[in-house]
Amino acid sequence: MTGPSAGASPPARGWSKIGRGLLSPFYLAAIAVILVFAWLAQGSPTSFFALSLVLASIYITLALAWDFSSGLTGYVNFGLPFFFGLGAFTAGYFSWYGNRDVPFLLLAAIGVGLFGGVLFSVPTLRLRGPYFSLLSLLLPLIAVDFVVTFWTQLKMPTLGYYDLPFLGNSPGAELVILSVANAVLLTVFILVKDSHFGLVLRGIRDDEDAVSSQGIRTWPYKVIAFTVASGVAGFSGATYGMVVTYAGLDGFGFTFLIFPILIVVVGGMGEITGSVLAGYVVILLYQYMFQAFTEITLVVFTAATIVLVLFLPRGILGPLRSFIRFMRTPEGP
Amino acid sequence: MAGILATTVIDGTLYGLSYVLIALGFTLLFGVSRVLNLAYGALYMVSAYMVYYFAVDEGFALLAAVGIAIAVAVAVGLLVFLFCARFAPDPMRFLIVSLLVALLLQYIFEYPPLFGGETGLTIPGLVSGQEFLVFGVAVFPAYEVVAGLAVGLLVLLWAWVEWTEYGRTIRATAEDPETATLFGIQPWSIYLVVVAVSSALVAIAAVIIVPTGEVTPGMWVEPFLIAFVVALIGGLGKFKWTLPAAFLLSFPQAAVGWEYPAYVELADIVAFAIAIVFIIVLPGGFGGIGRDRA
Amino acid sequence: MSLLEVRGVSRSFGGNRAVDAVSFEMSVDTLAIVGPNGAGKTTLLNLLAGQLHPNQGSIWFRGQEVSRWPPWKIARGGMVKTYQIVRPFRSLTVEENLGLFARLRGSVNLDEILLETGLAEVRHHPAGALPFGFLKRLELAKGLATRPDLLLLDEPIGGLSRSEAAALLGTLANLKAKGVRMIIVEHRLSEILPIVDRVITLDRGRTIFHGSRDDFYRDSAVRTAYLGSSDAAG
Repeated sequence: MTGPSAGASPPARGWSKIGRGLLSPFYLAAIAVILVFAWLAQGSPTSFFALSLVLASIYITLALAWDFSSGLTGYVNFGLPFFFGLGAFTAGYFSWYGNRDVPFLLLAAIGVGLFGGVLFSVPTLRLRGPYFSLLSLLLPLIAVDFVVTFWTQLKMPTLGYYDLPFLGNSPGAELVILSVANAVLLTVFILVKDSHFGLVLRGIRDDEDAVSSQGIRTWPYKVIAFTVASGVAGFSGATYGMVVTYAGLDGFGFTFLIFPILIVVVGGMGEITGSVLAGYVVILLYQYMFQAFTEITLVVFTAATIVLVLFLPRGILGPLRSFIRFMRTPEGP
Repeated sequence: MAGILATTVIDGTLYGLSYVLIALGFTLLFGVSRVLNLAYGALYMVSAYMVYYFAVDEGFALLAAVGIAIAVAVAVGLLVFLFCARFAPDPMRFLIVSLLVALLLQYIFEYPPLFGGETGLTIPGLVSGQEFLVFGVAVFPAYEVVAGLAVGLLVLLWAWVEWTEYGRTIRATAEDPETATLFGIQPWSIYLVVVAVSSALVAIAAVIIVPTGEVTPGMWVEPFLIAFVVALIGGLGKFKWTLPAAFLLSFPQAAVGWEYPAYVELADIVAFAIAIVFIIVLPGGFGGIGRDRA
Repeated sequence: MSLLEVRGVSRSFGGNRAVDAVSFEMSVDTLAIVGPNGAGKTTLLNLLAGQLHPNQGSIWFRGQEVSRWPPWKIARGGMVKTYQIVRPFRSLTVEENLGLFARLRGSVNLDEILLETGLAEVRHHPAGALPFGFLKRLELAKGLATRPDLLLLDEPIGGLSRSEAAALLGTLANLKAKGVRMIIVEHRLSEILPIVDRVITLDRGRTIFHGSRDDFYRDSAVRTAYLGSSDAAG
């Protein structure tokens, strides 16, 4: 973290610090996994396997957004489903009124998500911990109530839009799009995490007062982090809408909060790369278990997550990460 | 149909008092622990199901079922607390774990072989009877019990926390657990008592209020929200302002409900909006002038 | 123009006057603020750092009035306080702890700071794993990383053993020689005085002595205030 320093350090050091994350085995593994699954699905592009991977990819996008914002800052944000649903609705709205250009729908959803993210993060700037989390929980609820109350006035059909355009010609094709998006997001987030911006976010998680009293204004960092997360969630929601060709109230549902958090927890909070690896594991496991055991799967999964959070705070990969970090310090123990 | 004033005052009072009943345990618990516990609402749901199972399915006497429900709620509450205190001591993980616990309980009760899929479950109330009219507003006798119990428990808790020796101990622990140990106070025992009492309180609230509605696995969200919002607005651990905070929400709700009877959710929206404004503008609630950061 | 000017600053809590009409100036000298427990030293430091605002009087830093500025603005302006009870960023490494503030006011050579404060060997260790002595050094290093014009040190050697304290004081002496300006609040007088130029003594919020270090040794009012309290306590 030396940046441009007067003295012995050459400017190149700043760069190599930022790029360091890209050389980490976890990042490389995550990228590899994304590519491998995308390639595997092309063999049978409409299979249950491909569909599950599409679902996994959507949840991974959400998990990445949550990990980048809440995982790094420590602010538990329950509002992600709100922007997810909002993204889906945005795509649905435009396609309902004739615009079926997929890139445009995605961009619109991102824009709405970003805008909403700013609106949401500014009033919550003064809030910490539970207060922040409560507000983030209330917002989706109000949104849902609002839609339900006024759906006729808003000229919305049956509590949702249907007949959205397909994201791709087949699940296999959709998977390619989503995989590319995830790979890009993963890379960007890792680069930011290793930068000064990411350092401030992590400092906020440890001790926000200490950060701000020593001269760093924390609010721009928080606003940016949450706005970006909201934009990504909006994008994710739009892709979901275009996979199921329907944008409705279920987009605001708890599943889009629980599974991303579950994935982040399994992968290690704040680790970013963990969200990708864990995402595939969790969702694929869930999909196939559900086929076999139906409802009990949810119970088992939730119980397993509780155990994980309590006993493996840094996720399944936690011990491995600690080991690698230990091996890396030049002086050893 | 009653006029807006009568409806607002009477319905507002009755709803508000039911909010108070729900919020009491949470005000106590959150006031002491300062950590968000989403499982609190889940205990509400579990209590209702316990009464249903024992009183309706198994035919136990209602009072026995109620007793069991309270006992189960306390047991679950303590279990969650003990596990988390031992393995997840930081607020963020505790919050996530409590959310997971609430969901786990919901999914368990949604599981078809147990109760899943059954809708329209109701549990019998301790007080039954026909509704009667007060100034033209329909009132169930059950609500009178709610009102009485709410006020009674509120006063009791307030007195306990403010004026008894043990209450002072609780407050000291809430302010500064480390310093409290210097005075020979064991924060652990305090937390256990507080968790047990608040679990019992939410069970009581469920047993009294739920008979007027339906029993569903997802019913833990609303009581939790109400409890949290009322506790926040009223000020943490300060029972003095619980009543005004509850009324701040319930009176506008009643008025809106009278004005727009077709839009059921509108009342909720109004309540949430008020809560949001309050939280942003006055994070410490009525009770806290200095910003109360958790 | 002085670097720091405190003009008749008072601060009360409820009925209690923690700081009572304190005035002083400082430019280059290393200043120590001493006094018995409860004298108002930490309150005064918090007032300077912006964590509290004065009820009366004003504070001027580099010619600007900063009495009502928020802490971050004062830190950016060049006056930085370190914490008495250490507040490291535990999940960040030592180097990252410094890196947070390294570009706040122009570039800083982190390697140099790490060397000066004796933290070079542990630069990659997570701060949460460090022993207490290192945390005190980290507290100082964090302050230095902001390239402050004036460093406010709140009990920098509090809790350290004699030898650890001596080492840290050596570091402070070096920093002083390099031109770092400091105000030090400390209980452990005998250890801190050698590196100090001027002393202000507070007692119950009021200034009862303000002068050079040598005069401090001789003043009777000071001795009265300290009667019964050992300066080896800390």
